[in-house]
Amino acid sequence: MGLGGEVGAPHEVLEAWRAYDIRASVEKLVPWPVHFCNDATAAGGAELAFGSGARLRKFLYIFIATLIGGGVVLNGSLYPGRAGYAGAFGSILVPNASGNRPFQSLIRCASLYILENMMRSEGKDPSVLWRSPDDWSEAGSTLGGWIGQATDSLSVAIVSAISVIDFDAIVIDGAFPKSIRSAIVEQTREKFGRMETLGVAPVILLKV
Amino acid sequence: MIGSDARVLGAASLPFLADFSQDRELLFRING
Repeated sequence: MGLGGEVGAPHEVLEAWRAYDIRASVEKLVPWPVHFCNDATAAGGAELAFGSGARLRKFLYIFIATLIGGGVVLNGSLYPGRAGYAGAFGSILVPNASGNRPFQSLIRCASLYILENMMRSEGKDPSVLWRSPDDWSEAGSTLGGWIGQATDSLSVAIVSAISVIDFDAIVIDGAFPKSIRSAIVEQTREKFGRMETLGVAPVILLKV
Repeated sequence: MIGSDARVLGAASLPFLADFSQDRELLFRING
C-alpha cells in the first residue's frame, strides 16, 4: 500500500514482512499449535467472544490504531476470509479533499499515525498517544481536527461497507481513551445519518 | 466494547476463537 514512509518503515521491509510466513516459522520453534491472524481481526474476535458478540450475529468491527483495520462477524462467527484480509476496512476508498488524487484509502485519513503526524507538525509530542491510555488532553485542539477528519471519511466508508453486507451493526473501537471513542462514535453517527444510503438496510452504530 | 486491549485479548484467545471462525468452505456449506 506504500505506507512505509508514513509509518516510518522502509517499503522493502514492509514488503518482506508481507511475504514472510510467521506462523510456519513459529511452528518450527514451539511444540504447541500456532494460530495466526491480523491484529484487527483478532480484536474483532475478542469483541465477538467477550463484547457485543453476545447480542449481535452479524457485525462489522472497526478498530482504529496506528493503522485502521477491522473484522467481519457473520452468523455469529468470525470470518477472516480466504486470505485473512476480510474486514480490511482501511482499504476502502474515500474522497480526498486536499490531495492530487480524487480518492484515497481510509487508512490515510482515519489512522492514528495521521494524528501522530499532525501533532508532530504542530510542534507537539505525540508520545502521549502510546504512553497514556486514558488521557490524551495533551493533544489539545489537534485531536478535534483529527476526529473531524477521521469521522468524515469513516461515515463514507461505512456506507460502502454496508452496501456489500447488510450488517446488523457497526462496532467502532480502538487504541484510545473511552472519551475519544465516544466522540468518534457520536460524530460518525451524526455524519452517517446525513449520508445518502439508497438501497441499503438500516444499520446501528453502537453507542458507547 | 473492549478498547485498547482488544487486540491482545483476541490474540490470546485465538485457540478458543478458532472454534468460532468459519472458513469459506464451511460458510458456503452452511448457507448453501
